[in-house]
Amino acid sequence: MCGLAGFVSPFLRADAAPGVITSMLSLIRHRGPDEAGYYLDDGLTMGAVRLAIVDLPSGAQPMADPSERHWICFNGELYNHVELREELRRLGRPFRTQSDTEVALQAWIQWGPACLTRFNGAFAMAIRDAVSGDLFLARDRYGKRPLFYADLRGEFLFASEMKAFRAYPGFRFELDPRELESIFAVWTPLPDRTPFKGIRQLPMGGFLTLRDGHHTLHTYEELEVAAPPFTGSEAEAAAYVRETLRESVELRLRSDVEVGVYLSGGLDSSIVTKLATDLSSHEVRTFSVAFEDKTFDESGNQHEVASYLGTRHSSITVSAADIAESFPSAVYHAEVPAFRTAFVPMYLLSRHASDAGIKTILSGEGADEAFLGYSLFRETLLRASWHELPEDERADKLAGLHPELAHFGPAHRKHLTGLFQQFSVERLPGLFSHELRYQNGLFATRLLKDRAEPFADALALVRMAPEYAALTPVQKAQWLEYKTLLAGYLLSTQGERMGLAHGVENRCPFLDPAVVRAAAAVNLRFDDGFDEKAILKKAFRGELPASSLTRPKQPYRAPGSAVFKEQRPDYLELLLSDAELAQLDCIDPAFAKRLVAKIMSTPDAEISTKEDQAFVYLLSTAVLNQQFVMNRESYMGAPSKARLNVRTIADRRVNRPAPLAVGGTL
Amino acid sequence: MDRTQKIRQFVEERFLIDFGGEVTAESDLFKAGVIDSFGYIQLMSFLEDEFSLRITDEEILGNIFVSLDGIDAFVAAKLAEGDVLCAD
Repeated sequence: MCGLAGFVSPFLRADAAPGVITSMLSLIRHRGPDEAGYYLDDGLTMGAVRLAIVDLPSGAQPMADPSERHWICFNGELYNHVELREELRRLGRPFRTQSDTEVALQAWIQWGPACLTRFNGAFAMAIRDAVSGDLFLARDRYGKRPLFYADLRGEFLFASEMKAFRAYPGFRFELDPRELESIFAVWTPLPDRTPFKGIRQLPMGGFLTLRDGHHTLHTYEELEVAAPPFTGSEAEAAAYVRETLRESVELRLRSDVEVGVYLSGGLDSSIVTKLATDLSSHEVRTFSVAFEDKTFDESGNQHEVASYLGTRHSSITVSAADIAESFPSAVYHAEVPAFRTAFVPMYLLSRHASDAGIKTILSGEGADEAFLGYSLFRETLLRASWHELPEDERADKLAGLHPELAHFGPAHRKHLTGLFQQFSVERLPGLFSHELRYQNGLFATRLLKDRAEPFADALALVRMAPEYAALTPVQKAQWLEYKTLLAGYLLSTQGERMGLAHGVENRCPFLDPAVVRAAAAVNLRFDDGFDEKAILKKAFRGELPASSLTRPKQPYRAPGSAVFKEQRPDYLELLLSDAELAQLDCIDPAFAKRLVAKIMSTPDAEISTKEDQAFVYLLSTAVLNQQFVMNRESYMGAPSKARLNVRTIADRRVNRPAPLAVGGTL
Repeated sequence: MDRTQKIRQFVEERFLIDFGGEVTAESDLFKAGVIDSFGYIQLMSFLEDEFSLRITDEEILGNIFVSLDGIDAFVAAKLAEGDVLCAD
């Protein structure tokens, strides 16, 4: 795991390039505290910070092939690097290290962009062809690792985190009201978007080529949520799922450093823990978040699973004060507005894991999307069949939908029937599954002064997606979850960005293409989808505590607006003060003040989810505005303790200016 | 405060809107993004409790509770029919 950054600029003075790239890398040094390096030629400067996990001594970056024509900066891991290396070696490709970075480079030289579909991993990479002058950027198929870019009419910047652009001369961040509208409505940025004007993400499964100053985008792999149905028995399907997951965990335990596990206490992370303990020769270490507020706490389940599986377990207990204190730091690392605070405890957990000497963890992300774990999928199945179902069946299915929510309880069954009747017909073409959820998002868009069509870009996304129209309603729901909430929040804001804030990389066994395919083949084959993740439970029956296999999913949550109301951190003034609020040009002050006043004066139990979400959106946007737009370091939270350790400099400029201040070349 | 005002005030306070601006008494409150699931349940409970009326299964499935005007007319008709749980 690492971070990368770079730029193509005909305008920057040649002697400025080393200083600029060093500053850019310094801003993302938390991602790679072990070492850093950069490459320069007459057209491009790029570099990487490295968190050494595979081939610690010789995996330094940037790395070149023996001819020094191709140079790579690589962020992430190829879990199948051993197999790819053998295949490439047989094809005559030369290797000088044991690192997966070199495998990625040689695969690119051998196969070009076709190499990407062969990669099983979490990665973002930049490859420079010093002969053709092309720059090639690529990102993994599920968007596990980030890659942002800005095409500034002749200048092209790219980086693992947008904050690196702060070091580029003349670069200014500006919030984009149109993107904020879409983010508030949909809950996350769309796959290629960010909240800032002029900055895009390379979408998952995509690559970009920069040639002669012009960039072109391509998709190398479309997301597949459909698969031919599994033809064996239910027992065979359960065994197939179990074996596929076992192989996935085994691949992700490949590491030259110890791999820990994030154990939430739910089914998915318990399965990962179980397989990791089976496959490890040493005692596996597990790490958890516990909450002071018992409403959110799952520590009982965490301890039960850890004890059952014999892991060396440790946890942090997070209080409202902890969330309030670390919110600005976590937002700084997230770089996008957030609709809930649950990412902040993950920021604290990665600090805890890092302090314990852990650089790599496994987690259960992706299981709910693949195996239909979310109530959203059951809700979609119910709404899609609403008019065909007899009354008593509707009532039964409504009853099992959200057992954790009081307003979905028996006292309101009749009212819920009326609500679902309203949402039984598609209003937003292609977004049927998410329409009820998006009501909360629509409420948050009222924070903005100018509102046009909050779903216009989401509608265009699904309209343009090949094969999307042919998917079933629940498959469309999955597709949207993969493209928005998973990549845009769970893997990023709550996942990768929080982990890498403290140099901890996450690996997701449920996001192996083979696991996603297996899930697609068995889903709804042996059950109707209303028994949550039934096939997964069957696959691990007898191997986990009974409670893990029987209790309903408890969504991972953390206290929201109540935290800020109770703790009154200084930065709450950004919302309480009219003058501070006015600094957010795109925000409608009247609605914002009304919302804030209601939150501050209403008992927590009477605050609705949509109000809570809108408040957290507003606060995180205000903090981001201070950090990125106004460049106020006092709002950026705790600075990283990591140092920028530049060890590799490859200066391939023909027109080299004065000698570099820092020594060492490849 | 009369019936219409009571309903209007509840919706305005609960959903942080002002009727007369972008949202009018005729607006479809679902399409306008005003009503969410939690708010809808609260609104139905409020109507039943405040006006001591019972919404039937048929009525709840009708397209009645989508606009302020629609809700107000429904409550007015119920009260006129005397279809209430107990007298005011």
